[in-house]
Amino acid sequence: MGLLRYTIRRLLQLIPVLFGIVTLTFVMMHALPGDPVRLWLGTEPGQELADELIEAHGFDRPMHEQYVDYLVRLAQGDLGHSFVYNRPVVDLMWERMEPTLVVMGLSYLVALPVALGLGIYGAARHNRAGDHVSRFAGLAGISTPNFWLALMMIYMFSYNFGLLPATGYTSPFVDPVEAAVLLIMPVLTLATAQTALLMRMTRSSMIEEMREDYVETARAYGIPERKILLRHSFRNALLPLVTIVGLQVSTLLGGSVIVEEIFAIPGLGRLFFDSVIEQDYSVAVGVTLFFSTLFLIGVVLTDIAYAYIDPRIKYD
Amino acid sequence: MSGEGVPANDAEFHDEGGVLETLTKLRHSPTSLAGLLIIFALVLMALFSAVDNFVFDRAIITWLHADPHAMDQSMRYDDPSWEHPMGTDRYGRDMLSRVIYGSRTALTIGIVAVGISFVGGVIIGAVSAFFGGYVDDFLMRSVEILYAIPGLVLAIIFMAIFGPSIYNLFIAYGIVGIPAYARVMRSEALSIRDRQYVEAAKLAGLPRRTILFREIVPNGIAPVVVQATLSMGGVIIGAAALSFLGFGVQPPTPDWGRMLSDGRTAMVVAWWVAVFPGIMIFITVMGFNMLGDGLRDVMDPKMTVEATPYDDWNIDEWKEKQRAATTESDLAPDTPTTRADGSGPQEGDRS
Amino acid sequence: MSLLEVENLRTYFFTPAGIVQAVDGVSFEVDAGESLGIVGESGAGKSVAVKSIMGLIRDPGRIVEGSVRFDGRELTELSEAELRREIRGNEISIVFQDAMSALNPVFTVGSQLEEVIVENTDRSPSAARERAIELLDDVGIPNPDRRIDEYPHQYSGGMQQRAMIAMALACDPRLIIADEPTTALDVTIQAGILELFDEIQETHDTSIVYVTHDLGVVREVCDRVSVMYLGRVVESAPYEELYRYPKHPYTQSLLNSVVTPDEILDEINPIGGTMPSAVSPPSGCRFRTRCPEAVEECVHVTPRARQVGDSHTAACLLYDESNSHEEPTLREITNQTND
Repeated sequence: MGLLRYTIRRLLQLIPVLFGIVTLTFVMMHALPGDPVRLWLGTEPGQELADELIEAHGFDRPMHEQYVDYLVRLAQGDLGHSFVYNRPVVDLMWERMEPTLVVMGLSYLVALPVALGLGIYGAARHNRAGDHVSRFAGLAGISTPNFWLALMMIYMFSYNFGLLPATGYTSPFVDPVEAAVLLIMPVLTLATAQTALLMRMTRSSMIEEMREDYVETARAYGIPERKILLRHSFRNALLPLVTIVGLQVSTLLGGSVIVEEIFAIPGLGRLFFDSVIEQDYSVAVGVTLFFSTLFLIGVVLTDIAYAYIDPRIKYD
Repeated sequence: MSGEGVPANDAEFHDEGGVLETLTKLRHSPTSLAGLLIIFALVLMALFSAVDNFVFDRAIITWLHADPHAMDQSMRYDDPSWEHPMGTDRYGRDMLSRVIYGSRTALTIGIVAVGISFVGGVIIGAVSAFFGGYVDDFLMRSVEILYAIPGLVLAIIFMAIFGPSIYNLFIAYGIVGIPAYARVMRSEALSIRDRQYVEAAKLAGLPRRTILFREIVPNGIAPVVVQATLSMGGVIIGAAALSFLGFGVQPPTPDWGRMLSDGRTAMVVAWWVAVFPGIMIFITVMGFNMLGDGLRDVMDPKMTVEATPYDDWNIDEWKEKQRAATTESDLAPDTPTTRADGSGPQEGDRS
Repeated sequence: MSLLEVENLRTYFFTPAGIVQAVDGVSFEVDAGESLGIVGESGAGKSVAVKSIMGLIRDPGRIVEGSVRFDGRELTELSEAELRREIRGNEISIVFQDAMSALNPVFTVGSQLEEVIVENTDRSPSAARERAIELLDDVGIPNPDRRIDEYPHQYSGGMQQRAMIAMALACDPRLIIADEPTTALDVTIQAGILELFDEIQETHDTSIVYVTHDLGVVREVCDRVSVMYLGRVVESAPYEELYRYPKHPYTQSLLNSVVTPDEILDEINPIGGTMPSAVSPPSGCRFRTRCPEAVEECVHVTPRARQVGDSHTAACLLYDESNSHEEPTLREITNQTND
């Protein structure tokens, strides 16, 4: 019961933030240069057609009316119209959602076990050779630009060895084998820095927990070291980790722009990139809004996980 | 402490910020020293490029090696050689010179953008914590709004609105970074706000602005500095990514991200164009991260006491030394017999 | 033979700032069913001494010398695994000062008790739960069958310490170490906990080593007292004897600084000065820098524990009839040859 009420409270707290983001995206849409109508109509505008479009989309109305209109349409799940594709933005995004979520999800699947394993290993061997190696590897991991890593992988595995296709995407729900081959490099690109960061967090938070009094208690009562590490300390060390995992949603969504552009994956990141280039702003702003919402959902899930792990939050 | 008329003798209440002390502690951390060395080398490189570019119009580097802007179509995508250790790009420009010149852009963007984030974050965080209530709510919600949009996406939109240029890149990444700093500063300021020296300053009737910027901010700045060092790497990568995607630094200014973007199209014929600028970004970011890592460890009291291996101590030898040393010093005027000055307990016999 | 015999124990911490000689040549004994109080200011090395008994000293600390015999077994020679299986929890258990942080915040009190029981006995999990409820009942926690599923933060401070004591009792140990168990508690709650220790000692016939800085607390629970100063035991005696006839100047000043209701405030004499650092302790007698009776000789001679009464020892030159130089220092040797 406590958990449900806690969740609802956290969701309610997000409303002002979400409202702020919506407002900000509205401002962005109008601040972005270029006239979508002119763009769509090409170099020889038929004035009547342009006027018709302007009126249909309400571009001639006062700002505050447009803003209210924007809010109303958002509430109805209408993100506007793409002038490049001549389709509703929502439909476009719906189509492009799968690759982004697949790459991001796989990235988590790769990063979490590797990071937790290495991080716990580093903490268990604190200040010994294994720890120094993993610590240095972690630093190197967060210092590697992901777009450069992607280029190097393409150069190595596609051009030099011809092992993996450089670009393209197939849904793993359609052809898992081909999808796996195509997804290796994009997922590794996203997962490297993510793994390194998580690993460093795991290590430092495990080291900190191993210094807590309850660890001494467990030792004094004959609990085996392995159990202390994996049960007692890990459960406590999870708390800061959960927070980082939630915050990484944002980093990964930003990274998807780069990864999808380099590997030609038809996802939301690429849709965003293309729409900015093509000045198809309702799409760009729609994706931004969606990314932010996804991030906020991640934050709420984080908070729920936090409350689930730490009994002190639920009951307070 | 009594409530009335506490003199505002700040110095007595201050915790030692200890920036210098921290720096001297760093010498125990080989990682951060190596990081510092890397950064130092890069700063030299960047300073050289800047002076050479603006004062001598690239004369020095041309004389030393090659002009980073000079095009030579006959040298298009030339392999690395003695003459061009990093090869040439698609206009036949020398990669080594361009890579050296690229340090200027990368470091400038890092420092200016982090500077903007730093100042903005510190002000927002400190004001938010100090005033609390609605001010805090409003500022923190605003910061959360910024935080919710992925950094790269926000930066791309910013560049699309204001046009791609290096100055807009500064501002874009400066804004993107503000939330993190504001949060760190706020939580520091919150813990400082109720300390005694701040209470004392309030009771002494110092203006709020003075308290905020002379008492709270200086004492809470250390973690923000660590945050700055640690996020410098991220900013440099982010700015390079933006240039890589074509939204950042515009040609012909040499920039590592931009070079990588050229390298991408030429990768099959000229691997070097994509390799060397990337290595430079990696080294730069690594330098900042190594330094930041060491700084954080030094500043975290829980992390500082590292075990010294027993093997370093020869206990018997050490004991002898101790004995010799203490006996020696204790024969100084400070002998116990002369110290029985009545400050201790009188008359030992109670029985 | 005593149940526990600690002899010439030295536990040092090897830090970048130097070697912290936290425990430097400490000896004491505890008989079966007896309770020993170890008293001293904070920093005297009391906690380190008792943790050394169980082998709980972690990097950068190490027992560099001395022996700990428990029931005839030399504990310092046991491996970590042997200590874990055969000693910790089932033969010797410990109650820490701050129960709030000594209990794991993310597990229920019950699950932590059960884990200790399952780990140290061959009880099944369900039997362990029954035992855990029984234990909570024993230490005076109301509604134990309900409160067993609560988390430590849902307990009050006193209750947390009682749960900690329940854990200490879980496997019927022969020795319980209580490391300042009431320091963090209110005086009223403190009394209840002390009563509980008395009760445990009577009903279970357990030996107790009770570490505290409070001589008043010692009076409630301890048969005998050892007074520690800067890593060494300076005086050791049965409680009544020590209270009536303190011999060591440190014990005397310690008793002087205890506030009792019948004393007028300005008669209280706090001990002057502060305890020197254990990294570079004074040579000879360690108390000499604060000792009102100190003489030149104290600089050079490390006083040995001397019999000063019936099972009463003190380590002070005042009681050293022979005045023999037990541990001549290097400096002294050179001085003598020069003279």
